[in-house]
Amino acid sequence: MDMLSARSADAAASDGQLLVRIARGDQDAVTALYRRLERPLFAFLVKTLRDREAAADVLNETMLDVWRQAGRFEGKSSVATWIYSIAHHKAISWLRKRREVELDEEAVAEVADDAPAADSKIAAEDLSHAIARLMEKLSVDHRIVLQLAYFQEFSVGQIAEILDCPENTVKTRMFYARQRLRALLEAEGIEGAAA
Amino acid sequence: MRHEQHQGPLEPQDVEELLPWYVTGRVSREEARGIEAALKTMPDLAEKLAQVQREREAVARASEAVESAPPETLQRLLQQVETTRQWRVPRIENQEAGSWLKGALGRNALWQAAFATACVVIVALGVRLYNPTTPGEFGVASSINQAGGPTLLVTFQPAATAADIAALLTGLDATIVDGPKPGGAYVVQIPAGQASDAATTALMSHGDLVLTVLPGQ
Repeated sequence: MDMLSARSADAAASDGQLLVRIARGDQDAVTALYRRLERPLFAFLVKTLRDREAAADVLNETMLDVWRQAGRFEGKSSVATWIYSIAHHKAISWLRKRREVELDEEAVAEVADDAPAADSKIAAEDLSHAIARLMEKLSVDHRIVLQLAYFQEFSVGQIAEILDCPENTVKTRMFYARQRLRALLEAEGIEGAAA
Repeated sequence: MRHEQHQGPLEPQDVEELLPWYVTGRVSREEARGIEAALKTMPDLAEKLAQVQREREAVARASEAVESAPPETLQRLLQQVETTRQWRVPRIENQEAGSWLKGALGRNALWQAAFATACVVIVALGVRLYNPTTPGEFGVASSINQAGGPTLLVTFQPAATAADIAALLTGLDATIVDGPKPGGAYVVQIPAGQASDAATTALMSHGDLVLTVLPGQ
């Protein structure tokens, strides 16, 4: 098989097929799965960690774990869910090391107190940009659930698997994440915040 | 984890909770029908749905704006892959076959068994000759379970980590009960009723972790 055919075969392979090949020690399959997942997974990690360098490190560690543990994947969840759960676990470990989890709530409180007065800079800013900017000020749990639901488009059940928590916890976190986001928008006097 | 689907009509609170997943099409058909019915009867729900859609667009746009990971991330990964051992627990290929042990006794088993036998003969002589005649000379406590199965004398590859070894032995329901002996061998006990030969072959199929396997006492 020439390189072009091999690449198109990799592109056509399902995540599960690539993982089986990885379990057999196929390094080309690692490259194929990395290329497939890199953009969304890296975006998830950047938004979770708020640090590109750390996100690249965690992405690397996650994919290395996929290589190491591919043979242990039991197919109880989807491949993507499994990989995101590894990435989530590593991201939280990284944050814990930096003590960001403990400090997060304080940071959010400070941010809310320091929010600019209504109409100071909102007029020039589009609502979408404001939401994206204010999302950065949410706690890590809230950022994660918004990311996984809105960008990665995982279901409630899949997010529960990734976070290793009950589905009701996912829904509760989403409720409070949205509530907090609305509060931040309202504090900046942004129209359309209240729903 | 199984998805907990709503039974019966959705309560207004359930409808609102599910809106973030409704906009991405990640609710069940039944839940979608419930939300669509609620949109006709709850006057303020359409505005709430629009709010969720705005949030979703904003999050998606912000995430899409994140540039790719630096190219060296993949290069570094591939370099590490070259030198990183995999867990050799071929469950994916052998799900139908049932047990881990069946998987371990795969295509390479004959070759590995022959190699193992050669190693056993050579190293058995060495270890037995090296074994102290005075019990307890090395101060190692033994916890051999007399009700357990047979024991094997196993030496591991120098680069094998404790975690790798623990995972390997857990997969076989085996435990280290004594050691290290002179020459670095450990006494490994396998479950009662399990044949030593099968366990030896299974252990030797992990050549990246196991150096030699000898019959125990």
